[in-house]
Amino acid sequence: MDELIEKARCGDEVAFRSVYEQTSGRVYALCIRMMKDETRAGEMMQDTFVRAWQNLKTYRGESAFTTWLHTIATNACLVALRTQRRRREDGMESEELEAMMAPNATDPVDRIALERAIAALPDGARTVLLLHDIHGYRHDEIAEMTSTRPGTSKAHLHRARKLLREALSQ
Amino acid sequence: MNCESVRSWLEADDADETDALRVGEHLESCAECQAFAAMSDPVTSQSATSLPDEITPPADLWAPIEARIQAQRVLRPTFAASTRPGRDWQQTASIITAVAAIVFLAVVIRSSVAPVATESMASFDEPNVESQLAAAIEQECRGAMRELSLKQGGDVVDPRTLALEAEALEVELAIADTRLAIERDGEEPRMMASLARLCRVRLRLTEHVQELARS
Repeated sequence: MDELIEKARCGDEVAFRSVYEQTSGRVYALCIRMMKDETRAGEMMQDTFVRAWQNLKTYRGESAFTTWLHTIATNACLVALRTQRRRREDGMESEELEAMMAPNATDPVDRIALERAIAALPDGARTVLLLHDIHGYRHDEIAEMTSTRPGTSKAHLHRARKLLREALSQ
Repeated sequence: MNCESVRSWLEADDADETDALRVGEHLESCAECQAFAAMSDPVTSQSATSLPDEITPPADLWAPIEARIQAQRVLRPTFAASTRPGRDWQQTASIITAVAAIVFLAVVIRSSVAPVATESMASFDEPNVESQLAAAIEQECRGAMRELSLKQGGDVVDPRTLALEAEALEVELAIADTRLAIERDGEEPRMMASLARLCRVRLRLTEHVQELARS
């Protein structure tokens, strides 16, 4: 992976495609759960990888490459969600149906319910829950990724789990 | 914030997320509240961790990314500026002007290869290099517009810019569609009038951009 990143950093698009193929699943899992919409998730994927390509030279290898990508994706999604919310408040965009990912017929019902419950969480709580519980980041890492504080991450996680518990018990 | 208000925030169904930072600050200095916040139903957290951390993206998602990367090679001098932090109004206006100019270029290219490019802007299966480039440039412009919008989401938002951004994109795309329709159906008076009207709107938009740049 490091070799591919190094080649991509030198402008090798084929290497960058290989990097994409190895990392896109983890980035997409975050984007689709954040945006709750396949089209918007696709846009965020585009923005994340194009921005990563533009800024590869600034990646110093201090964190895992997927952490770096997740940071770009998280911020892109959060800002897009803020913009979307503001436009809704301003009446610039009609209320969209926040469609969940199409449930897979083979998925157990409780997984579908869980995905729906996560999708219904407030943005901040959902972000931290996804990064902490699903992608395995620590609070200090999440704080760095989202430009907040570890305490804020803990607060969001507590609330996310509480809301999730309530939603799943209904 | 005191312990009581922090705990009520943590337990509220409709807590204001903008208070999360202050709650976090309190948690970092209060061991009791931190312990309170750390309590959570293990079943719930285990449920979430059981979800897959990888979801296969649609197979065709790489194509627009690749197209935007290639378009950037062409457009690098213009868009290099768009990623720099701390852009001021004049820079923003310049970017909008540049985007409008590039969309116009894409329109010209697109018109020259119509109707191939009209089939689908997202499709890169056509062997026609020009149409692919036109589509890639348009995709890049959409990305640049979105980036501009995202950037504004993080900064103080001026509604004039949002309006300009939306207007620029809509007008240029409408002009593109009208030109293609004229090329396909001939110079039908109603379409010609629409094109003239859209071009006037674009002119007004350019004037607005110039005014913004001066202000």
